[in-house]
Amino acid sequence: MNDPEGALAQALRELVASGAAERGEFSPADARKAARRRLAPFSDRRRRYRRPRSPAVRVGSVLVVAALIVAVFVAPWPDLHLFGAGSVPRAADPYVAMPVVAESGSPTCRPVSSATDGGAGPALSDVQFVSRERGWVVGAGRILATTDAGRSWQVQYRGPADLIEVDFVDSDHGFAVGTDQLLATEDGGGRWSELGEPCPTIRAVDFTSSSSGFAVASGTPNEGGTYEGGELLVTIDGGRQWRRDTRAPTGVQSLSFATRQAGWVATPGRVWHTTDGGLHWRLSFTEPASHPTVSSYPGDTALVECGGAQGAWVLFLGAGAATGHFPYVAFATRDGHDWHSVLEESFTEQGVMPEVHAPDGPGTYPGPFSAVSSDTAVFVGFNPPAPLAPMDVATDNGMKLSSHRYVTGIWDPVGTSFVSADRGWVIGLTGGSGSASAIEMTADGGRTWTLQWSSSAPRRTAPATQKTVAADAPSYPALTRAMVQPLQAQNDGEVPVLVPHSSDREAIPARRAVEAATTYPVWKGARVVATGLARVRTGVGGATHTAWLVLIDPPGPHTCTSYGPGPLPASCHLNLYVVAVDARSGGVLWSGDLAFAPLGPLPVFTGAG
Amino acid sequence: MSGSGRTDFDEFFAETHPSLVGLGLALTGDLQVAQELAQEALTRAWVHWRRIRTYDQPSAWARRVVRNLAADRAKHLRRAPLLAPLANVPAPTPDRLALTAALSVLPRQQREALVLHDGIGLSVAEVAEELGVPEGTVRSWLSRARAVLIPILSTGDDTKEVGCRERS
Repeated sequence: MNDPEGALAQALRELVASGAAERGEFSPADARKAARRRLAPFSDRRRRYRRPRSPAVRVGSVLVVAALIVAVFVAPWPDLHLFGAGSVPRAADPYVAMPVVAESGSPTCRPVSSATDGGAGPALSDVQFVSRERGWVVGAGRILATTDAGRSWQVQYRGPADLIEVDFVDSDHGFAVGTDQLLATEDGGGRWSELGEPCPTIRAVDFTSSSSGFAVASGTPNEGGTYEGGELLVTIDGGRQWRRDTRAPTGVQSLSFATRQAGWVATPGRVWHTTDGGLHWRLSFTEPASHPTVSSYPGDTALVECGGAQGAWVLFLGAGAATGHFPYVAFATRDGHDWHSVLEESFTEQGVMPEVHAPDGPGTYPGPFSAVSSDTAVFVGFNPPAPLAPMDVATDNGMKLSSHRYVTGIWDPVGTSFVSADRGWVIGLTGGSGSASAIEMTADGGRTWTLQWSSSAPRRTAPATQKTVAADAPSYPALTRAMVQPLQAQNDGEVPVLVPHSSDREAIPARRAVEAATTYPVWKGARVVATGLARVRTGVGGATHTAWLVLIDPPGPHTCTSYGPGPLPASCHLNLYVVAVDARSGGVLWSGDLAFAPLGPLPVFTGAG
Repeated sequence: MSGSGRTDFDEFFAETHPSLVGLGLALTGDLQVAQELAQEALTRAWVHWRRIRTYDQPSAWARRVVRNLAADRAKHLRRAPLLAPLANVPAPTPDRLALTAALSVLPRQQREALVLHDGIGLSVAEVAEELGVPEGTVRSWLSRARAVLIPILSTGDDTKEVGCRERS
């Protein structure tokens, strides 16, 4: 050929065109459907991350409350909520100059319509404990409270408010944020009253005393359970009047204040710190660049929680990943200056942020976390195919990480509150048929759990637990050695070693592995030929995992209709697909073709009919 | 999601879907995988549509997802015979097998640059923007990729001719 470059370009154009011509059946509706499934864990929770207050903060709060009570008796109460009209001179207060955006008595603000799925929120959406004994849980139309560490839960509120967050500053003064309500109590929840919702709608609050607080308002909901384009509001009269904090960075997604002075907000990919109550914001941390860099990408959704006045933890929720994974990565700091990585989603984050090398986090999807102090935080994760939510306890400011532990009875975690590395609560969905919401408590760092409350009480809707794994397994034909022989190439040069079902008690059920392996619409009509547990290698360095190998017969003209027993007919051109699904997490480890040439040596598939 | 968001997305989908599958095919050599990658990219595009629709080039974002997923897949499979016997879906032609096998020997960056430039038809400047490297780098990747591919493919042509003659 005279023009080899032109011929090559022509061949490449034809190659791309042939792919385009054979793009397969996939419509925008399919994409939306797949996205809805993907977002299901997020779209219905609108989750907020709460922290238990450190004792020092609580003491501080009590002092502020005491001061306020004095102030209330000195100055008549009605003046307080008209603050700004000049009744209580507080010249030093920087917020007086800020524009008032809402106050009590204004017409109730309608919420910005939420993402895709309307309807009531989850039965439980947020949990907060202010001490080892006292805690609150809020959800759709209810507030539950306990004074005995959750041994008994009392209903404090039943009503129309769809509550998404609870924020107590001490045992008496608390706030509950709803989609279109803001409730407050001054007696530990004995009486909840409506404050009136400012416009723009408040998404999250963090009060540092019964009077001083910050809020994230406005913005549009995103897939991470937070909001894009939010703004910071501030109140000094217990939420009656809100002012826009014009000094704060734009696009606030989450906030966390240790004291009135010291606090953090996060914007996409960035964490900001103030030590003077919001007069000055310093950019404390920018997430490492993702690879390859796209200048227009605003950064990962950022969720920040303080641990003391100087320390903080942040969880970034990434974009761009693989089947069954949602990349996330957590960082921590002790002093607000030096940040280091704590954990990351094990299969995809490494590709997104290659410079970050962090231990495997719990789950292939991010879950809630709870910062106990600058030393300790507890991260809960989500493995959609697995029955139990995994969790890690991070200590030494995240330099040490526990091995994965599992929250018995919670499949999809929604909120968590830990008061120490040992003692904490996780709320979430139980999974399984007739999924309920439940509160589980641990006193030994997640090794054992006690069910304290369930929306389906008294009968507990248990998810598929470890006991059911063995019983569930034989529903598909078992994998044989002959079937795994050709996988040598995918498995770092070794033939995967089959392991008996009972040998890994943390394994997810086979049907969940099959679900994970056949997520895509291209597998519509595909037939599962066999499944089995095997030890496989994957990834750089060839780490060993216990995985479900799922052999799939894709739909199409090449399909063999019979797999034995006995040798396959020589005319049958067998081309199977195999997916290795991590037996613990349900994440897809690798997948590949299992091709047998028509005239080559055929494996003998027996008993797989 | 507003009605216009849906319409936008449908248009974007119709424009982008075919080329994403083509890109995936050129990068992985496996049509079924290419379909899967395109589906994943479009699903993600809808997940992030509010943001992506504001981009100048939403299709560049989707291509990036396909490229990353294809690279992740290659990393996980490592030395796996990605492009080995391919009987998936409509049987690939010997030409396609030869070309995809040849592409698979290229380093990721060179392969991506070549496929985006020659296969998708982006200009050198657009490829540079998309891969986040200077244009000069793209040009050198392209010439290195061609230097590797052209000899392989001309050998491939010979083999094919021999095969044809034997069969007839």
